[in-house]
Amino acid sequence: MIDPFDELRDHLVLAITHLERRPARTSRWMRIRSHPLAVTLIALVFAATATAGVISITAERSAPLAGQVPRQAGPGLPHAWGLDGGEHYRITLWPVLQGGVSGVCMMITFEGPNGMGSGTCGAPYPTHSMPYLAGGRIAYPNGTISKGGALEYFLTGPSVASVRIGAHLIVTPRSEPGLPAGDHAVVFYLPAGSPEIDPPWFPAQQLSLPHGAKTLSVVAVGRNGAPITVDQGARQFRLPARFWERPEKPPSGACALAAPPSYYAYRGTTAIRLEPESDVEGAALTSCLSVDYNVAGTTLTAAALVNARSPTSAPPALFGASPVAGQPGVVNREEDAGLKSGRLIAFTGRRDGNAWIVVEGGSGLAERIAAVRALHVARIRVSG
Amino acid sequence: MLGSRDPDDFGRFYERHVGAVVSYLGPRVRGAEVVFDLTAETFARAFEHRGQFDPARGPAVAWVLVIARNLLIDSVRRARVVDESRRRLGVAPIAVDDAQLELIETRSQVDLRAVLAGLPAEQSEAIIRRFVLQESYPEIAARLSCSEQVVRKRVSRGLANARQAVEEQP
Repeated sequence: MIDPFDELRDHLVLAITHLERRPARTSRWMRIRSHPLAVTLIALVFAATATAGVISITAERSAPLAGQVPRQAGPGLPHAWGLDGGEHYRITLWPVLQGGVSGVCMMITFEGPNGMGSGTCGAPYPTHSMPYLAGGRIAYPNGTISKGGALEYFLTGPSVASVRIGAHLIVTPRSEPGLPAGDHAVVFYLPAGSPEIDPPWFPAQQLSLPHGAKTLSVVAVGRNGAPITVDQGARQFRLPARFWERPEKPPSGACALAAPPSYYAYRGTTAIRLEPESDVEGAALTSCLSVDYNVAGTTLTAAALVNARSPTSAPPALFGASPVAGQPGVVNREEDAGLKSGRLIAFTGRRDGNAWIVVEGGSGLAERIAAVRALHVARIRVSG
Repeated sequence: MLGSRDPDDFGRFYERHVGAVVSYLGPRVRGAEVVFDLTAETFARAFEHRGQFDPARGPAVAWVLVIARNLLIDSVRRARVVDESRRRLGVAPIAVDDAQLELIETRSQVDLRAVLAGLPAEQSEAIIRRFVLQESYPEIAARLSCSEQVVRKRVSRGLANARQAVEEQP
């Protein structure tokens, strides 16, 4: 019997070996522009009665997606994975390409003496029953934010006018380029000593907070001024999809791409059924399929992204991507996500009927442009 | 090892820490397949984010366990094992037979608490404070009324002993 852990080690080493041999991507390193954490503070002090005491509520506009964490080192010692204060941060979002997924990849990086970053892929778009797109979370010992404070971040859907954090803070979501149309960013700083937030998208029993730890509630408030009721039990939208790899043949799924003979498709993930995601609030994209191709020795991934709410209608904008000069109909996004990891977000897209053909990988922009022009949507079949 | 461009070095990193990851995940999830898939994703993610590892912030085992913990939380939240890093890295899912599943199950049953209980009290306390309570070295030193250097030594000896104990478990 082969030890499965040895097998896993061999697979990892082999994959890394292939990765290291891939031709270097032509990267355009963009320096992160730092902004001071521009929060507009409007302190509202209500004195209800002379005897009722004073309740102070701070209302602020969300901080931008890139900026600088305040230098407000609190008492105590820094958490091993917490902030020191003063770091430049950057939050980056891009659509998930993996077939069958309607969601977003989100990454935050902190540049500073102890730079760090974290990210997640697959967070679902805001819906009527859960109008948040989940951000990241660091768990603090004792449930209290440690020295250096914490930068909390998430997105809200179009129905959300403001977000109440605990009893004393109201954050107005901020519209920013690079977000799915209609969604807004909510970015705010909590100083050391604050309790952690209790994110509604994250069931309390999974927060692993110490017994009795206080938390700050997160409540979305609608345009009518009333709190929006969320449904924590709402099923996450996901299409039934199948992963395949050569020598297996690609399954006949809901979508297909047509490629020239020089494009060797060797694996992918295909949605078996394509259904509209009726509960989604803003502009959302669903990946109907993703295919890895080998093209003259380089590898690239192509995906067909459709309108999540109505796959037979025109898809919303490929958020974060800009038109490529001299290439009508082609959009591109290429940037450094920060830190020294060399992680480069680089994808190129072209509208083909009611889908975006999106390509990432390859040897650079020219190859991705050639690929989005060479590939065509051969099938989009909506169930029901 | 994480800073190296030699794939075999990452293989050595894996060998060194896979036991800790499996014994961390084992008691927390149901099913040997899930443990195995989460282990694969943990190391794929560790490779992707290797540039973010900072030895000044703690040893590699703590860093990789935080990755495992975050993936576990993510997977529970999404009701599926997250596998984006493994896919990006191009590591195909590994099919395991019944005998291999049994082996994974056995490895998952290594009880870290029992291992820690078998260590000298001063070492297990230092490890628990550092990695479970996530206290910093100066903080632990202040609490235990000893120097930071002594704490570091207790943690490092404790980890070495724990690793040996894990390897010696059936």
